[in-house]
Amino acid sequence: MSLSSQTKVLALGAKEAPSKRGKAARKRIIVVTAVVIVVLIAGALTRGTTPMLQSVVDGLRLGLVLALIGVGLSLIFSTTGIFNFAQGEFATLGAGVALALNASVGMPVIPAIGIAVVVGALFGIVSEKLLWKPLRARKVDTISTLVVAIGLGIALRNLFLALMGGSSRSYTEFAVQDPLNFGGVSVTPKALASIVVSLVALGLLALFLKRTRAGQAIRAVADDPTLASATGIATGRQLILVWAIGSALAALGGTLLGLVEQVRWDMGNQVLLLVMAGVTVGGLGTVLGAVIGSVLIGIVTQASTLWIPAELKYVTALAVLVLILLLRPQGLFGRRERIG
Amino acid sequence: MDGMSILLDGMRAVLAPTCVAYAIAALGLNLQFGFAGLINLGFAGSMASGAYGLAITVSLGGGFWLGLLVALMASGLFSLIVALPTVRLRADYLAMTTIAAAEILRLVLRSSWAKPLTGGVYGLQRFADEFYALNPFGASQYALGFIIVSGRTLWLLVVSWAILALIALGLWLILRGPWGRQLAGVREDESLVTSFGKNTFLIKIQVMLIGGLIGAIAGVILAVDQQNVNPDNFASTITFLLFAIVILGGRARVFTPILGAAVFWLIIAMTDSVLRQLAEVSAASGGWFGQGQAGATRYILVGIVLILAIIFRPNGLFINSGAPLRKVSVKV
Repeated sequence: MSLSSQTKVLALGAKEAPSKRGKAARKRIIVVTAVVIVVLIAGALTRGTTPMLQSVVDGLRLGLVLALIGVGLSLIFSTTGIFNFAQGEFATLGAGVALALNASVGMPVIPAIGIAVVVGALFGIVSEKLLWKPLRARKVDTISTLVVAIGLGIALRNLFLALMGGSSRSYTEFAVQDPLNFGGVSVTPKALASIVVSLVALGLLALFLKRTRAGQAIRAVADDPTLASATGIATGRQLILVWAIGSALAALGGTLLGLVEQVRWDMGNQVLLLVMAGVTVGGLGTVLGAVIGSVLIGIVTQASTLWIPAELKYVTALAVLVLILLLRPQGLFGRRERIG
Repeated sequence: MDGMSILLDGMRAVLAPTCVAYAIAALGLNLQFGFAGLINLGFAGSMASGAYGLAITVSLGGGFWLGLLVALMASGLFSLIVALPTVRLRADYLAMTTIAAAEILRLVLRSSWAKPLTGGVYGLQRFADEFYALNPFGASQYALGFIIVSGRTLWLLVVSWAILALIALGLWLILRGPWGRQLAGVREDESLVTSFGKNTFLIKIQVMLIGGLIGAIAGVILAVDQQNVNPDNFASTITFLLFAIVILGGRARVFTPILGAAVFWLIIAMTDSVLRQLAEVSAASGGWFGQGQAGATRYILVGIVLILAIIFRPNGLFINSGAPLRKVSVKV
C-alpha cells in the first residue's frame, strides 16, 4: 500500500466528514475576514485610509515572521505533544548567529542568514537527540516536559544576554534604508524582502508537507504516532526532521525580525506570546491555521495602534489569545478533540 | 576567591525577607502546580496585584491596613477573572492563558496610560511607613549568627516568618483532609474524581483563588521590604524561579517549598558571589566576562537546574526519587 493512500485512510478516520469540515472552515474564514474588514474600515474612517493601510502592511510583515516562528511550534506540538516554550529562543539563536557572522567576521548579511538557518536546523536536531528523545524514553509527563522547555528557554535567553550584552544591535548592511512610497504607505525594501522570503518559505513548507513522502509521513505521525509507526513509518526519524524544520524556520524568522527591527537577547521571548497567540488562534497542529492566525495577530497588533497607545499593542494580541482560548480553544481551524 | 564571603553571601540571602516572600509564594504555587497539577504561569500576576493593591491604596491616601485588604481583594479578583473561564482548559492552554493574563496586567501597569495611578515604569515608593512605625526593635543593628541585620529588617522578618508559619500550618490542615485527596485526584485523574460526584471545576477555582491570595501576600512582603513596586519586578521570570523552587523542594508536599526556597537562594547567592568575584578578576585582566555576564550566568544556571531536576530528581531534592507523588487511594 502506498503512503498517500494510508494517510487518506487516516484522514477519513477523523470525527467529521472532510467535506463538512471544509465547509465549516470556509465559513469561519469568511466570518473572520468580515470582522477584520469591518475593523479596518472603521480604522480607515476614523483615522484615515493611509495610516490604516500602513498598519496592514506592517502587520502583514510582522504576522508572516510570527508565522515562520509559529509553524515550527505548531508542527512540534502536533507531532511530539511538546509545547516548546523555548521556540522564541530558537528565533533569537538565528538572529544572533547571523549578527555574529555579520558584525564580528564581516560576512555579508544574506549568506550569514543562510548559515544561521542551517545552524538553527542543527540546533533543533541536537535538542531532539540530547533532550526530547531521552525525555520521551523516560515517559516524562506533559507538565514536566513543559517545565523543561521553560528551563531551556531561560538558559538560552541568558546565554544570549551574556554573549551579546543587554543592548539592541543592527546588522552592518541594510541598517538604514530609504522607504519606498506606495501612495502614502511607506515600506522599506528590507520589509518587502522579509514579506517575500516569509511567503516563499511558508509556501515551500506547505508543498513539502503535501507533496513529498517525508512530508506525508510527518502528517501521519501528527495524526496518530502509534498508527504511523505501525504502518512502517520511522517515527523517530520524522521527529528529527520536524525539530530540524521547526527550528530552522524559527531561525529564519528571527533573522528577518532582526533585519527589519533589531537584534536583542530577549527578542524571541518578546514575540513568543504573539507567536503563541497566532498559532492558537489559527489552531495548533494546522499549518494553514498557524499562518492565517499569525497574520491576523500581526495585523490586529499593528491596527490596534490606530486607537490605543503603541506601548499597549501587545495587550490587544494577548487579549485576542485569551478570547479565542475561551470561545474556541481548538482555534479557528483546529479539531475539536484538541481541547481535552 | 574568598570562601568565607561566599558562604556569608549565601546565608545573608537565606535570612533576607526576599527569601521568606519566595517561600510563601512557593507555598501558593505548590498548591496549584504541585497538588492540583494546574500550570499557572501567571503567578507573577497574583503577586503584582497584591503589591500594587497595597501601593496604590496607600498612594491614594487609604492607609496601610486598608491597603492590605485591597491587596487581597485585588488578587482575589485577578485570580477569579483568570480562573473562572480558563481552568477547564488543558495544561498547555491553561499555561498560555495565565501567562498572557499576567503579561497583560504587567503591560497595563507599566503603560504611560496608567501612570497617574501606578507610576508607570517608575512604579510607586514609600507606602509601608505605617508598618515600619510599629517596629519594636528600633533602629539598632542585630546579629543573627554571622549576619548583621537592621531592626527594621528584623521586624519584617519576624512578621513574615510568622505569616509563613501560619500559611504552611493552614495548608497542612486543609490538605490532610478529604479536600487534599480531591486535589491529588484532580491532578492524577480528573474524570475519576468527577465520577465520584466531586465538582472538579469548583475545586480548581478554590485552588486558584487560595494560591493567588498566598501569592498576593508574598507580593506584599516583597513590596514592603523594598518600599517600592515596579511592574518589571513581576515579569514572568519570577514565576519561573518559583517553579524552580517548587520542583527543587519537591512537589505536592506542604513544607518542602520552604526548604526549596532556602536551598534555591543559598545556591543562587553563593554562585552569584562566585561569579561576581570571577567577573572582578576577569575585568581586572581585561577579559570579556563582566558583571553583566555574571548576572546572566546565574539565570543560565537556573534554567539548567530546572532541566536537570526534572530529568534526574523529578520529585525534588528532599524526597527520594523512588517515592511517587501521593496517588489517589480509594478507601472501601
